[in-house]
Amino acid sequence: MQLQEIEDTIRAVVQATLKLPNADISSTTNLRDLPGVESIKILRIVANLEKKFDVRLDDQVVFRVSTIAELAKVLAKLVEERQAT
Amino acid sequence: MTDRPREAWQAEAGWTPGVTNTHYDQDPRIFRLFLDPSMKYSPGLFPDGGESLEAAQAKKMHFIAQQLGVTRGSRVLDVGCGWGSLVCFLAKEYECRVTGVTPAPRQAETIRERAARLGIDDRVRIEVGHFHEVDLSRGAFDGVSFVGSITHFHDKPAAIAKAYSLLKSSGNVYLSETCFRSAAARAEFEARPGTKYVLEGIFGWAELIPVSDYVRYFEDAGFSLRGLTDLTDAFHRTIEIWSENVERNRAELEALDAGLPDRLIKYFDVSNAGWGFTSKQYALTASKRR
Repeated sequence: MQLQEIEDTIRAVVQATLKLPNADISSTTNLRDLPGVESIKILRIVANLEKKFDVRLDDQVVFRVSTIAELAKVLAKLVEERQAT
Repeated sequence: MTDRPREAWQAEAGWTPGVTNTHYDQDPRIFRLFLDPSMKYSPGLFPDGGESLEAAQAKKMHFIAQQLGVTRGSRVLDVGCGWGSLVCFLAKEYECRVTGVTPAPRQAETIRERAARLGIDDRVRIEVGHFHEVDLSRGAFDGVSFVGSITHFHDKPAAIAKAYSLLKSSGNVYLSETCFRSAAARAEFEARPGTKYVLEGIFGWAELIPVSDYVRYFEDAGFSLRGLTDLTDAFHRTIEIWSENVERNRAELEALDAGLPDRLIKYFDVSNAGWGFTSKQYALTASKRR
C-alpha cells in the first residue's frame, strides 16, 4: 500500500470521526490542534484505524498521535510487517 | 429531586456531601430510567450476544455466585451494595444470608423495602456506613464481594485486608472494577479532562488503578488468587444499552434533573471510547485458603 493511499485513508477516518467531512486537513497538521479535538476523539480515530488496517498501534503512538503523515508512516510499517508474515 | 435543593434532603438523610460519591445519592427514580429493573449499576454478561439487559444482569449475578462458590445458606457480604441487586438476588435465588454495606441511607431504605416485598427480609441485612467503620463479625462470611465499589475507597489495601479478616478460612472474595489498562496508561490519562470528568464530575470521587495493583493488594492481604476475567466487552455492551435507555427516557430524566441526560451520555461516551486503550474491566477472584 502506497504512503499516499494510507494518508488518504487516515484523512477520511479523521474527517468522519471529527464530523468535519469537507475539512482540508494537511498531512502535517497536528490533529490535537484541530477544532473540538479531545483525547476521546483521538482514541476513536485510533480505534477506527486499527480496525481498518488490522493492526495494533503501540501505546507510544496512541498517546502521542500528532499528524496524518506520522500516523501513515507507522501504519505503513505495520501493514508491511503483517504482509511479510 | 425536583422540588427542593439536593443539599436539603442530603442533610436530612444524614449525608455528608463530598465525603463519598454524590452520584449515587441522586433520586433512585433517575436510575430506574436507564438501568435494568434490579438497578444493577455495573456490567452484565452477554454470552449469547443478544441478551436483554435484564437477562444479562441475571447471568452476571449467577457468574458472581459461582465465583464466590456460594450455596444454600452461605453467608455473603456485599461491600458497596448499591440498590441491592446482588444482595436480593443471592438471598432469593441461592437462599444465602446476605449483608450489604452502603454509605447511602436512601439506598439502604430502597433495599429493605425491596427485600420485604420479595419476602426475603429475614435473610437480608443492610448496614449503613463506610466499610472501614462498619462493625462486622470476623471470620463469619463464606464470600465477600466488591462489585464496582472499591474504586471509591481511598484505602484499597485496607478494604481488602478487612475482607480477609471477615472471611471464614475457606472463604472467597470477588472484586470487579474498572482499571487503567496499565501503569503507563494511568500516567498518561489520569490527569486528562475525560478521565477527570468521569471520576470527579460524575462520581464525586473515584480512583482507577491498574489490575496489577489489585493483584498485589490481594497477595499482601494473604489471599490466594484464583482467577481473572476480562469483562471489558460486556461493559461496552452494557453501556450501549444504558445510553439507548437515556435517549429513550431523555425527557423524563431532564425533568428530574436538568442537564443530566447530557452528562450521562458524555460519561458513557468517554467510557466506551476508552475501553482497551485507557481502561479495562476486570473481575478478580481470590480465596483465603492456602
